[in-house]
Amino acid sequence: MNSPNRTVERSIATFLFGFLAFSPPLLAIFGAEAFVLGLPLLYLYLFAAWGLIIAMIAWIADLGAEKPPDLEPARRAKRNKAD
Amino acid sequence: MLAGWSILLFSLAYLCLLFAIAYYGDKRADAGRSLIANPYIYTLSIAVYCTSWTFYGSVGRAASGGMDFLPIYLGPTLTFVLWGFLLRKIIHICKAHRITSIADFISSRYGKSALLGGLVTMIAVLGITPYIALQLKAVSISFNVLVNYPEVVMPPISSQVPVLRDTAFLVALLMATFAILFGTRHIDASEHHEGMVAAIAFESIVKLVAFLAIGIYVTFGLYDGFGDLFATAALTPRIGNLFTSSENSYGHWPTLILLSMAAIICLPRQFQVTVVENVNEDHIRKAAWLFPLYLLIINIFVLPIAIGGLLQFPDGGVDADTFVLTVPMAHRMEGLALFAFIGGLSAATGMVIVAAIALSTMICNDLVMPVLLRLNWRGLAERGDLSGLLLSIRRGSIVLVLLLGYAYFRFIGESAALVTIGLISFAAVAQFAPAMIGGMYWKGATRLGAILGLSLGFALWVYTLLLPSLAQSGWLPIGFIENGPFGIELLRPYALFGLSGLDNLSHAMFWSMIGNIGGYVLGSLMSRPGAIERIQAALFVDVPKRSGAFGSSSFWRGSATVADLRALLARFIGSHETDRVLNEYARGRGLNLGRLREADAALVSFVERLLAGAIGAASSRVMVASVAKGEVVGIEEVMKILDETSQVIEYSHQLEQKSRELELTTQELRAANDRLKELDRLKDDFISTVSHELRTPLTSIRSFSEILSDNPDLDPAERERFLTIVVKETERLTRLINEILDLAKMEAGRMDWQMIDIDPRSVIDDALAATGSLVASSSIVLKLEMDPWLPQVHADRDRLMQVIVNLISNAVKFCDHERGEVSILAGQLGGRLYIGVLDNGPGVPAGDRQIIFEKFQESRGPLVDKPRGTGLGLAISRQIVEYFGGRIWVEDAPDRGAAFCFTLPVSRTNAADRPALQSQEAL
Repeated sequence: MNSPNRTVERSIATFLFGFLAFSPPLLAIFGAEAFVLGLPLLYLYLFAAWGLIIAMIAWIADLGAEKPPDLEPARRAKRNKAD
Repeated sequence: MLAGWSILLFSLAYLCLLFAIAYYGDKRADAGRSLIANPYIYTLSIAVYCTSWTFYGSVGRAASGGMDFLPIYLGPTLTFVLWGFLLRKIIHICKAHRITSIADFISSRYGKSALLGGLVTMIAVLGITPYIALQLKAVSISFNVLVNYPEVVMPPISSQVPVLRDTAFLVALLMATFAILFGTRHIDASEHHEGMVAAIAFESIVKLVAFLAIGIYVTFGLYDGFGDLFATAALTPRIGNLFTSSENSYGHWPTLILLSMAAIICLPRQFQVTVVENVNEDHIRKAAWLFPLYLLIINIFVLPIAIGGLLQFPDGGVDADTFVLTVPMAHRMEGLALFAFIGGLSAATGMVIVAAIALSTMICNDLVMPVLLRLNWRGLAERGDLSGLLLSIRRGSIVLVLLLGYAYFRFIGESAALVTIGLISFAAVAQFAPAMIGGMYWKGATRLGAILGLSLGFALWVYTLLLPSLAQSGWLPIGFIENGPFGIELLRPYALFGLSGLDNLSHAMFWSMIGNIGGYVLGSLMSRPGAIERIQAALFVDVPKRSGAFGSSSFWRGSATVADLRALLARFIGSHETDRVLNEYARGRGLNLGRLREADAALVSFVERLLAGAIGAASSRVMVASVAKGEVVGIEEVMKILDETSQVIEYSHQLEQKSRELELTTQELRAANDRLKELDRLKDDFISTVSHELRTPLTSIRSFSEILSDNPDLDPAERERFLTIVVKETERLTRLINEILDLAKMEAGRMDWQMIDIDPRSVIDDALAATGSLVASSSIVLKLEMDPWLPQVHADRDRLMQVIVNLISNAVKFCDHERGEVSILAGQLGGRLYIGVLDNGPGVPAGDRQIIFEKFQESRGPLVDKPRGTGLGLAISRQIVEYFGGRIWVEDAPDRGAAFCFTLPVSRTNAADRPALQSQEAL
């Protein structure tokens, strides 16, 4: 399910999302004179989008991580074999 | 009260603390309990990306350009999104090849080219010089600002101060000393500087906390949180416009993002901490999001501090680059200002130390050593321990790099803002990206392409960014920018070939990347890679697939003695270290190096990689080549080893061959099947014919017997005649059955042959005797013409006689009834025994001459009304003759009738007698 290819696909999708999120047209839209929660819209948007990307990296990296329980039985089997 | 000496004291104490940490880190590493072997320290060490540029420069940029400071941090985030197949692959390659710098990486990828390594080093040194100048400038200004506490006064321009009293110069010397102490204490084959990494990580914490402290003070101390700060700022349109204006242009953001994406891997210091100093590949998994998170956190307060500074100093008399320092100073926050200074100092020293070490490694390994080796490697080779020389070169390089940085600061960069200076450096190192990333995914990229791309990109960078910055500092006439060189408008460096409307940086990036990528692709497509290039290309591109094969992958075909290799290693990394790594290697492979005299290719390759860690890939190859006797493998072998296509072709060849063989087998099987079908049909025919042939005599025996049995009063003469017929038919039946049995035995190969050398003359005589009664009972004249000497033949006597008897009785049967005449000829024909039986009967039509030798086939001549034989005689005769190695056939007799003839090979025992007989005949 979480094959290396999947991880790569998700990474590329996140990358494209990031590049799009910080592209001039979108920045111009969010550069409007507006305040949300007392913060300038652009300031809030940039940090929110950035935070979202970081969360996505963390999520993808965590999914792609090799789960230790998967390795343990194999190691044990190897040990037993050696014995 | 902050006096100059107390600031100095604090700074020195801080630097000593750093050194203590580094020392402790090295000690722990030596003891095998690494301080840095966890993803958090790794992340903090990557945060060396945040320099004075971030600490002071970002605020300055934000004060004039709003969020413009941010793309420089978004780019690295996007690069780290791709960590899984970009960063990890780079780390993997570098670990496998013991690559210790970006120059080594590129040189190694393109066939361990010394030229390419030197080119990259040169670009890196020239490109990073402004960046180092930036740090010197930041430290010097911040010191000079802080020293006037509590007054906020901008320091004088340093070119008005003598060099030796210039703070920046002293800072440069101090940093050089530290870099030397940190990075060049000893030569290590792996180029790991654990202590330095620990110190850098500590500095990353200090600068983050310092910056956050200022940010929190400004936001929550001076103002009532973000809302209050922004609301206050919005009241002043000049400030409010910075973050809320639809007129701001974001056209240069993609350029900045792309530039910083490249910088995070191409900057020598980032390469050093991210790749070279990485101790565990899996750390990158956590660092992939922790590092961007660090960037995010350190950037949150940039805009608030900038706004706070602008509100604090509305008249613009204070350089925005110093707001981090001057805002607390203006509020008499002595401790906070000092903390801010220390934070800025950490940011600057971290960058300078790592950059200086990375550059010194490159200068030493990829610039100085190849030249020394080329000029006089014999003289060099005679020297004993070279690790001292290496260290001296590196120390000299560090001093050189810092002095270059100082020179740039003093003579060029004084007037420019921090970020502007930094971006020039980014644009320079971004030139490495095509050759580096292209080389990891495109096997066809060649050395020529890389050299062409790098040179073109670098030349255009110099022309569109570096030279204009010289012109702006007054070192070149300003007309160079405004009117172009020699007044050629088309060549204006900020509007090359009339390209205008872009900011200077985007313009420079556009042209240099066109030159760089264009040259790289064209050069690669127009040239053929050499043997080593092909090997390296395959190793770099297919690295995940081949990770297991690294130990054995080598292109050293020849061998060297272990002693030579040991001596070579010892000269560069010291004999103690040499013994340690070689013993480790031997243990890992179960070898005993003490007893081994000749090193195999794997060991040579291992030593080469080990040495590459100390002196660079290109130099290492030259050095190993000087002791390894074999040459590098040829292009054909490389093709064979590495080119997957050739394997595929080979495989398809095998498949084709297999399929051809299968086709052949199928044909053979089909033929065999046809033959079997034919035999089956013949067998059926045979059985039906045999039954038919057996029924004929049986029928006549049965009918005559019935007549005799039903008519007991039959006339005795009649009875006698009938009985004779019965007896004759019974004999014929018996003969038929015997012949069938014989034939069946012969065909099955179960006949008992008594092969001996026999004299054909006696056989013919016996045959005539046996057929004597048959001939006598008819009015046939039998003639015999025999050569006086007949050669002996090797045959079964009874069977040979059977053939002759068969032929004679055949001839008797078919010859003319009134004046029958049968001739028997015996002699030699072509060195063989020839026997012919001629009759004067109707002869055999040409069409029947083959089939009469088949079973139950008789010539259906016009005069033949009913079968007169069993139909097996000729078939048996042919079997016998062919078994003896002879041939039997039928032809027309000289006047009329048929001539049945056969030849037999003569026996070998004749060879001695015959010449004697011939000579007798000749007499």
